[in-house]
Amino acid sequence: MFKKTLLQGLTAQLVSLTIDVFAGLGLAFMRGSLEELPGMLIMVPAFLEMRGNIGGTLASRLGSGLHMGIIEPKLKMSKELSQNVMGSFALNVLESAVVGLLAHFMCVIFGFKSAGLLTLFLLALIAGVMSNVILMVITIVFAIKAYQKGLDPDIVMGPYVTTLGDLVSIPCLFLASLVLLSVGL
Amino acid sequence: MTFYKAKTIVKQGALSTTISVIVSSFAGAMLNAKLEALLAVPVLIVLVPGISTMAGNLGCMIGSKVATALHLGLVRPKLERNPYLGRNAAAILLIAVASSFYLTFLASAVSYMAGFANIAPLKVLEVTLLSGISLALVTLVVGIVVAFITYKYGWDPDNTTIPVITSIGDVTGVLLLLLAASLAGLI
Repeated sequence: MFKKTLLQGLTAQLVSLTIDVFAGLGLAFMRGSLEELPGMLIMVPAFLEMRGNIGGTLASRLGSGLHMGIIEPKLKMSKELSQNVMGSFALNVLESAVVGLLAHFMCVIFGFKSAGLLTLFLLALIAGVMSNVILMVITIVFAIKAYQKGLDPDIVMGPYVTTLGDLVSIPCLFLASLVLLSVGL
Repeated sequence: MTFYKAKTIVKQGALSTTISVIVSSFAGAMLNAKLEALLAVPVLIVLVPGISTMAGNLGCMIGSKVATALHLGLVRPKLERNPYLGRNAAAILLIAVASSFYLTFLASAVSYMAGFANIAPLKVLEVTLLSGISLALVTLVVGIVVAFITYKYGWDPDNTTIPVITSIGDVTGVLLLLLAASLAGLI
């Protein structure tokens, strides 16, 4: 019992830590942006948390939908699938806006320098939409492929989605910051 | 009529996601308060997502284990010596220690390859061990207490423990990382 908990727990932990160190490396590479866009660092944990939440619930719904036979295990945009995509996308836009606004408000509350309400808002929104599109495609394709191969998407998708989310989100934040810096916001 | 409706997905997801991004923004604010110091020691930035994940993973393991034990009647919701909980707590602590070593090795290696300011791996180990072990202890205590209290009130600890632990995980993870880094004299 002890050995099993230890072994299985440690394996899962080491896999996600490996991916997260690379996400962290990406974060360290964008030190320039973090310096030039004050307040950006505040949104990093919240942004990752949001991605994990929205990606995780999408994966979980896809798992249920596939098991119930509501979503066909085919790479084809059905009505059920498109409702899921639209819902996930809209929730993502809404929450990205919340994350951006929160970063500015934290700056105001704690007296940090802020790149500005509009800049932080746009930063979260652009990065949010970019990462959402990439991750939604990956999640849907993986879930359907996994189900076709006889794997249970409920079991295999969760850890995947959250760690992959971290890995995709950081470069998206970086890209969005470069876009904003280049237009001089 | 479709089974899934975009509107329902947004409505039901918005509240829980908003609460968790608010909590995580406080973790972000703590990092931001140390921005200058972190920029000077990039290996600490490399550790941030890893520590957050570790907090979440440890929290999920503890939360699920305690909930299962309560359901199976292996554990009573009382603060008493319990070999089942003791063994699981030991496993969690060992996982935290092993993860800290692994995180140190990997973060030091990628930082070296990326040409970041050189920090002795032993200093990094001091930070990861201090924050990893204290994180495991905090999550153990919080996980057990939340599971016991909610179980006593007739709630299913499977539904309560993990959301509570993971949402405070980001904040405690970042806080303990910064504390450990300042104890190690890095920031």
